Amino acid sequence: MLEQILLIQFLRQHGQNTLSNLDFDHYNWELLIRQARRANLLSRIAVFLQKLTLLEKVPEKPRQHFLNSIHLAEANARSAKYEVQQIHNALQPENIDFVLLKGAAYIWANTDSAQGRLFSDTDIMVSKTDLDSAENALIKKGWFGEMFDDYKQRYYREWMHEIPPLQHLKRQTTVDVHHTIIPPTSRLKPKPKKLWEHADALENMSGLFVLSPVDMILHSATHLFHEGEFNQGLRDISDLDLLLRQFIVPNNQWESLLNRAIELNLERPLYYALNYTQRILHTPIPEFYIAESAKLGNLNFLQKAFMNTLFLRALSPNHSSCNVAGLGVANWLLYVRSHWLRMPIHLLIPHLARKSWMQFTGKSTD
Amino acid sequence: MTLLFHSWNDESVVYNASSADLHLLSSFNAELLSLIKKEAPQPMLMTKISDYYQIAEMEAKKVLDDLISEYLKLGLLD
Amino acid sequence: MKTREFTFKSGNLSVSLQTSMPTVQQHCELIYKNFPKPSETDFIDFHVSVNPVSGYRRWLKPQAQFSFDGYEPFAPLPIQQAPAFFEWGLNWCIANNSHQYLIIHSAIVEKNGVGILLPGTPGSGKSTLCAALVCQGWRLLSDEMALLSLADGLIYPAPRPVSLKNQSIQVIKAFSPEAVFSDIVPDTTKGDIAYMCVPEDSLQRAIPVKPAFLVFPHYRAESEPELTPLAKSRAFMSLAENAFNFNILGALGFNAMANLIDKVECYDFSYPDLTSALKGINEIVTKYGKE
Repeated sequence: MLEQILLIQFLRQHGQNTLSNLDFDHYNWELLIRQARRANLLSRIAVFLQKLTLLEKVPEKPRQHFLNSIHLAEANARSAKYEVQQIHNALQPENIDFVLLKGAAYIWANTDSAQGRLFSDTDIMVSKTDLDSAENALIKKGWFGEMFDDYKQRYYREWMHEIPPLQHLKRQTTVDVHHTIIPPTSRLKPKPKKLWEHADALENMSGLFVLSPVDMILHSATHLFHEGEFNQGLRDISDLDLLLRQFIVPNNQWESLLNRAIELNLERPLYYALNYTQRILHTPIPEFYIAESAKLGNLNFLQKAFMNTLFLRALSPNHSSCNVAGLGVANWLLYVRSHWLRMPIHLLIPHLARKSWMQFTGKSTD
Repeated sequence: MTLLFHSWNDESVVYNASSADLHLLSSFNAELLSLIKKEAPQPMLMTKISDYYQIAEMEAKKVLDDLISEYLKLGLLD
Repeated sequence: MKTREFTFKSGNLSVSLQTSMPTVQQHCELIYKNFPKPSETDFIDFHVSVNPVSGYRRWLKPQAQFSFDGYEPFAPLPIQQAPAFFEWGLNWCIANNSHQYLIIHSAIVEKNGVGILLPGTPGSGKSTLCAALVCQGWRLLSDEMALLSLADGLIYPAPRPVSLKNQSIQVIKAFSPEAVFSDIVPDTTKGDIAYMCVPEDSLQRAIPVKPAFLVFPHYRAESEPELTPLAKSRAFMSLAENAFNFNILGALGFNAMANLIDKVECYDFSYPDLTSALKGINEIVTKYGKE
């Protein structure tokens, strides 16, 4: 089923290094572009083609769309670099160390997953004790708490134990300040201290870190499978695929990956990451390690089968050409599941009920 | 930090692609900015300023300091 | 209601619209019927749709939603605004996905090989001016987005119906009774809106133009028409503010804009009424023609 989706075929071919074999003149570029745009992967596949010097073989009109999406990715990277510098200017004088997460981290560390990566917010992690002074330091330098209504403010501060995203007054850019990689109200409890211990310092920027490659992979796995947003599903699988290929595959570092997952109590997300990147993008992960991670994740057969159906359907690119019967329901169930994992159940119902009300009266567009 | 300059007569536009800030400066000030970024020696800058405004060297130093302080505020220098 | 597909080419851009809404279908039948059509095998740049929103709201306060390949950039709008929603939505798609051009919020019209940019600054009356010029025989390249090619510095056409609001609708209808208009879209945040059809000639001769003049129009009732040269540095700053993707293009955008300003004569033009505005603009071209 997934094999029939052009974008997935394309990504698999990239992984196998067979893109140069495409019939460039007769390929269905239009469909590929439409699916990729919808999956937020257009810039990425454009960069893939550019790096392999295959763009010139693409017919003019689709080539133009690829080039345009590269402009977008380059602008995003420029802006990200600048934002992080400004955040650093705000936090460093107060001696607040911080770790870059996700897109911003990929750009600064120049990982393969930085290729064509688009993102809006800058995510950083500080220690829990620094949370309030970090918020103050940023506010002093021009950021402010967005005008969320009281409900959302409480959602962030009391239930999620986070400060709401801060927006820069002049640049209108957003920074999300975390103190852990999963909301503290979640059932999983990876210890932030362990993440800091393995974090890599960035050259020439004292107090600025990124997660170790193994921790980046685990964070990405956790973010994908425990967040409500599945519009980015395939994009995050692609990030994982690129990270695994860059940092684990070359020297078979599977043992360290598994051990670290145990240490951080992230065994189940790791199982999902390994299982699904292998099945969707054919990441070269030895079956043995997928099986090991399944054991560690402690899933029974029925659970695995059920999750399979939901994930595989929900992770296809969200475009009408990829519509699989039941996708609407699958998306919704996964959304519910994510929130179940983030918040104790008694907090769950009021939040979800209100969110759908807001959507129905057209007030919220998130 | 790369700055792009373009001048027409006595005014220049200066663009910082990283911060996405666009500035309008007098061409003289833009020229000074460019020289400061290239780390031109201070005496040279002060002579330029005192010649242009027909003022004494002491005043030229103040003008230069004020200018640098403005540029720092605008993010044109770091 | 049955879904219909409309496809058309606007300059180099190919569009496919799917809609089940009668008002949108009528709008397209009128406005886009003479547009060149892409062939079966042509690459389509933008697949968009405008359809009613489902849910309980459908009965209380019906709404329409614009979608670009399944992505919805906007919150839904009242159903009466659907035709305008299509036009705005398509503008959004073009402005966000055409970075081979520096995209400037401006009208661009041409006569005798002379291209004039009329930026859409507040209080400019750009659309009314643009519509009147087009009725006088100027070729329409665009009334909203001037597409300045990064590759060759020419402005490429992407003709679309001229959008007019409130009193301007009556002004142009009076000025040019033969002009063809869409139905009025009422009560948008901008007021009443109507779309003026693109003349045949602008559709057939969709070739790029070398920009020669940059004229910032300022509508000032009860004043004397006045054309004043504008310093290029000031023109650059004002125009950059009106370039949608200036920062996305970064250095490329800056250079494209600088090259444009180098080439064009820049003016501020204030006018009290349409007649003097048209006179003033036509005089600019005659002046250029002489040199």
